Amino acid sequence: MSTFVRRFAIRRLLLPLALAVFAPPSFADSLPVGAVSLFNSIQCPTGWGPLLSADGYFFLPLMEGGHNMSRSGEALNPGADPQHKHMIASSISIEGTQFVAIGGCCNDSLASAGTKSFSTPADAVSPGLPYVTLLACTKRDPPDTSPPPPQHTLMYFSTPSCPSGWTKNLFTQGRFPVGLPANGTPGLTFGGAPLAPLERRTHTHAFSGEVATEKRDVAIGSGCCTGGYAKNGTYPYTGVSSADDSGLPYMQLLQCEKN
Amino acid sequence: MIGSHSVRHGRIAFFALLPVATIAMASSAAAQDGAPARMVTFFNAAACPTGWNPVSIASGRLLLASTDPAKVGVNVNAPLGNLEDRTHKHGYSGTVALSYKSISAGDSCCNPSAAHTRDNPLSGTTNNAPSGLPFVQLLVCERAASNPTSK
Repeated sequence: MSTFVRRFAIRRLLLPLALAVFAPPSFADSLPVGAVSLFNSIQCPTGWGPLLSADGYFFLPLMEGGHNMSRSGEALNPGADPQHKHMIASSISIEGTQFVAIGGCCNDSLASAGTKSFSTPADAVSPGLPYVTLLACTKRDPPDTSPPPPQHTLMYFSTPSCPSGWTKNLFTQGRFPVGLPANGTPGLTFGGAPLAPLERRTHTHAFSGEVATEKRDVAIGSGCCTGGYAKNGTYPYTGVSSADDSGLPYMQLLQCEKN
Repeated sequence: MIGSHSVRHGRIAFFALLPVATIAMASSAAAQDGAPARMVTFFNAAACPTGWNPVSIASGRLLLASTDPAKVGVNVNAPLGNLEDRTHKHGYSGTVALSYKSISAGDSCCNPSAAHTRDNPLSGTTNNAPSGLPFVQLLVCERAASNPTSK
């Protein structure tokens, strides 16, 4: 190999390659301004900045009629498990009994028969939904000319409509995206119907039980004709709790799929 | 110095840069898109594209946004199974008041048929129920850190 060829190889091929490798990278990317994404990183890439308004919110693909980037619920502190509670309200129907005594003054230790209502708050618990926290960033700098993200990438955008080359996603609208579980089938929906804009979806719990009364001895015989006294026993109740939401805060965001 | 007239130096430069060139070409092959490194996003697909990897910590989990770097990776609760609509239940306790009804008889032996007026305790647990929230399970992938836009 001649000296000239070596010089050419070094100057024209290896030197530019070395500069390209060791020089600071351009840090640009092809995503358009307004792209919103999560990162498994402690800082947003260059050209991106933190999306402060998303702090403590789950992203929910924007539903028809919703306003992009509007939020619902109180921001969640990462690591906290949102709790909620319901009211439990029902009644028991106390059977009556009679005594041969005269009703009236002055022994007030017996209970009266009839319907007895009660209401009590249930314990606050978590719905048990699992999440992982990631860094929220939004694209601020214009895209470069590098190749676009792969086809079928689902990306959030703070813009009013999907950028060129992207199409609004319909089947995820109003649903919380869950990372595909092990052995899961991607793209399947489950749970309730899609949320309406800013809807706080509620749920209830059925409940049932029994109340045992405490007996009270009296020095009188049972029989005709003073009634309305509560008969000692065990009385069932059933009901459905008040409705409450699970406390998951979310930000509605336009989601688009790369064509 | 690179570009020396010396053949020996040229050989040194060539062999020194050969591994770098190999790595650069390999990275270029992996980075077939312009997404920044460590981006985590969903795909409407069955497998992660070239240059992207499945995110095991996100499997069966919702993704919570944060701007606090110290919170990245923080997670709660066990992951969901395939199409699992996670349920929960609540304990409760309270009382039901039995108001009195007066009688002209003493409290003593031996008729036990009546109930005492008092606040009767009650307690229990509700049935299990899901949150009612709607979900969609999607492939989630992370852009490999070999992308030149790595932080």
